Amino acid sequence: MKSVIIEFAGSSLILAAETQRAGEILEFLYLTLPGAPARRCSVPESPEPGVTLLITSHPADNSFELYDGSTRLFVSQAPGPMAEVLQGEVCRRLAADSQGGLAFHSAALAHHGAAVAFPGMMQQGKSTLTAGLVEQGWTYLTDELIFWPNSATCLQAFVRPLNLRHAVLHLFAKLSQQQPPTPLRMDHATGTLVHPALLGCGGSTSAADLALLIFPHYQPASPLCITPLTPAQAGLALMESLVNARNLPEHGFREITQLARTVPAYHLMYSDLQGLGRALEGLIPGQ
Amino acid sequence: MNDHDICRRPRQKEGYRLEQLDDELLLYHLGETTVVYFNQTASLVWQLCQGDRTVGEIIDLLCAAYPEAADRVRVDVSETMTHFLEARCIEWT
Repeated sequence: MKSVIIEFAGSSLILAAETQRAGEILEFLYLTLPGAPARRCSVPESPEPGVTLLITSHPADNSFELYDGSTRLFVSQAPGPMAEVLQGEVCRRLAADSQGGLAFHSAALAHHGAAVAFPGMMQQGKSTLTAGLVEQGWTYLTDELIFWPNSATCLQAFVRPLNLRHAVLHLFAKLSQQQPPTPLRMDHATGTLVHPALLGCGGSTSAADLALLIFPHYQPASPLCITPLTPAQAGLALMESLVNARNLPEHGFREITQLARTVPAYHLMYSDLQGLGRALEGLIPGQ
Repeated sequence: MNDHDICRRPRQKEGYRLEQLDDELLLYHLGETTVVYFNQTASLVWQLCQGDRTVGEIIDLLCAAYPEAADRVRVDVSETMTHFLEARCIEWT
């Protein structure tokens, strides 16, 4: 049995793999990052992990199963779909139990040590945008979940494989070079999971000074449009991306507004990734 | 907002947390988990919704304070009151 304790954003859970094949999924998602420890620590006051998600496989039909206790959550015939579902389930549970700060549904990348967060809910193009910026030299932090601890100046990013749709993979030459089967990519029905090692990311959780908030919106055939947001507008947008409001005093409203006061924010409408990195670089204070 | 609402007195509903960010406001209602954004104009109107002035009196007050924008005040206040009613953050006394 292989297991890993995942800790992030004041929340934690245990992942266990009952078989070697199931263990390969855990290995891909959480254990093969350079220097990745068996236990990943973020907030020291994290409660003891209570939830255990178990993956098992059956040699008879090569299927995989995911369990929460005795409840079967998912079945798949291949590792890729199981990895995708497990990755999403882990983030959902960490976010739901997160405390001690603000947890956002957000991508994040770094440029010359400055972190830029891209909050936004699903279907806003965050993963494609993330891949595009990696191709243009930015450092990958996360495509899904960030945490802003109370009284912090550093953003924490939950590093995980980037989930990229098949339809856009051809746009990214560097990522397309690695064809499955490879330990650094796992295909599923609608896309592929790209290991952080392919994206230049070396940590299991990343922390960086937050320099900028960008709220992205992909709009086909639209010209590039970057609009500065007032602090109030940024606060409103942040509230919409907050995923642990119910765990926070006054749903995190004051902390949100404080964050909005201190970090510059922009709305980004785009349809083409070309040159986007350079356009965003110019917004980062001091660069 | 309807035309006859000009004679009615709006009042801020209770239960909102308010944060002023520069000239704008964010309101958050814990029970309804709704957040409302007010631009500068709406922030001014919100401050005046204490239940003791009619909408018409609010318009007159802002016209006196900002005579250069008097031709826009009635429209702005009307639009703002409509926004408040849609957001359900005011009530009529």
